[in-house]
Amino acid sequence: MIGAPPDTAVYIYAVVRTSDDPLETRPTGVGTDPAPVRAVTHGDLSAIVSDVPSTWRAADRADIATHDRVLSQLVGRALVPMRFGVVVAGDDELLARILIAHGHDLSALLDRVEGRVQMSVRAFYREESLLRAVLARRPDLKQRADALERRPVMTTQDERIALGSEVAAEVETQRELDRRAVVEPLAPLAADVRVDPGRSDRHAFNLQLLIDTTARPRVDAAVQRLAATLDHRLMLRYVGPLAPYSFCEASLDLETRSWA
Amino acid sequence: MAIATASNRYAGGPSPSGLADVLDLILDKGLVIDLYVRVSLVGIELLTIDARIVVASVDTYLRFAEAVGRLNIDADGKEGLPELMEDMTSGAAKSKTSGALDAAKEKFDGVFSSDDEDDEDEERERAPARPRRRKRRGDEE
Repeated sequence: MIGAPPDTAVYIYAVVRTSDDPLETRPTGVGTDPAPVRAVTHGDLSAIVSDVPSTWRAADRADIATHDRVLSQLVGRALVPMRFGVVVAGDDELLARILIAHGHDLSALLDRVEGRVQMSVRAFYREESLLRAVLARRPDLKQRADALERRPVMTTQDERIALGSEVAAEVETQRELDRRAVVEPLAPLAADVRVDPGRSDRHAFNLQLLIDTTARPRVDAAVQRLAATLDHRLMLRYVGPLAPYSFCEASLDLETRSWA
Repeated sequence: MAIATASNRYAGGPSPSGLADVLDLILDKGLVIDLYVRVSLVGIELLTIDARIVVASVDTYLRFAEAVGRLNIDADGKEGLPELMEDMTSGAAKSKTSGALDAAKEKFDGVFSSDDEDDEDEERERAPARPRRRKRRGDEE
């Protein structure tokens, strides 16, 4: 174990179970003058870290990519990924206040993700398909819109707003229906799921699956079937295996031994 | 803005992930440690606040009403409402938080360099890529 000099801080990527060689290669870490990625170990737990200057604050895209690269090398083993940007003062702090103080919590998290990976299904609407689906369910809205089109805008402003408001509500309903169409068949195959809302009107949602690695063929096949079934409306982008980011969304409180 | 004709030939496996695929996860998920420094990523805090602004505007409703009028649901997809979809994804007035989120995303993208400017378009416009495993170190760039 190498102690960091006083003018350096320690950037943390992940916590894993201790092993001889957790990393396939010897990557360098984040920062403008990257230090080697190394492990800080206490018993069964190892933090994967690299040194950064204690004044280092300005992270950029390259650092995010580095964080991702280091974690992607660890995927497949029990792995608790840190959120991007977690820095502690030094190895001693890391040991005393994280690996030792929260050893129990970290072990529990590692147990939960052992033998599992995160797979991500991101769903995007194809052009127009959301409204088409809405109008298929509510043809009356289309009829009203067509009728309004034939009348002057100035005198039908309120009706147009009312109609548009109704359409907007139906769009939300349709998004929920589409979300369920994907989530419900896949959830039973996963150990756990998270659904994140879409970030634009085109972006329907993200579904995060924590799956046993042995379940991969079944999950892949199920996603494939859904992608084919929903192809006319939704484009599914299926990515993984990833570090289980969405299933380690906890906050360690360093002042106590319990979760914050 | 053509949709890829390769379409959903979904061959069974996951696509390789670009950074755009995992950016949200890296920045928003994972284990956090209280009381310790989180690196101050330029602009992120501000963007987070922006992203929570709810914009439910009359303009959006009017556009929906108009778009439904224009949409020819009997045709097979050539006529449509590209303007609406573009407006809805370009950070203009929107219903619900997604609009603001999208606007924030655009600004967020601006924070970073444009070297994966194709990411968002790619995920929106293209069918899933051929099945490949997640990129490993060394494959990227």
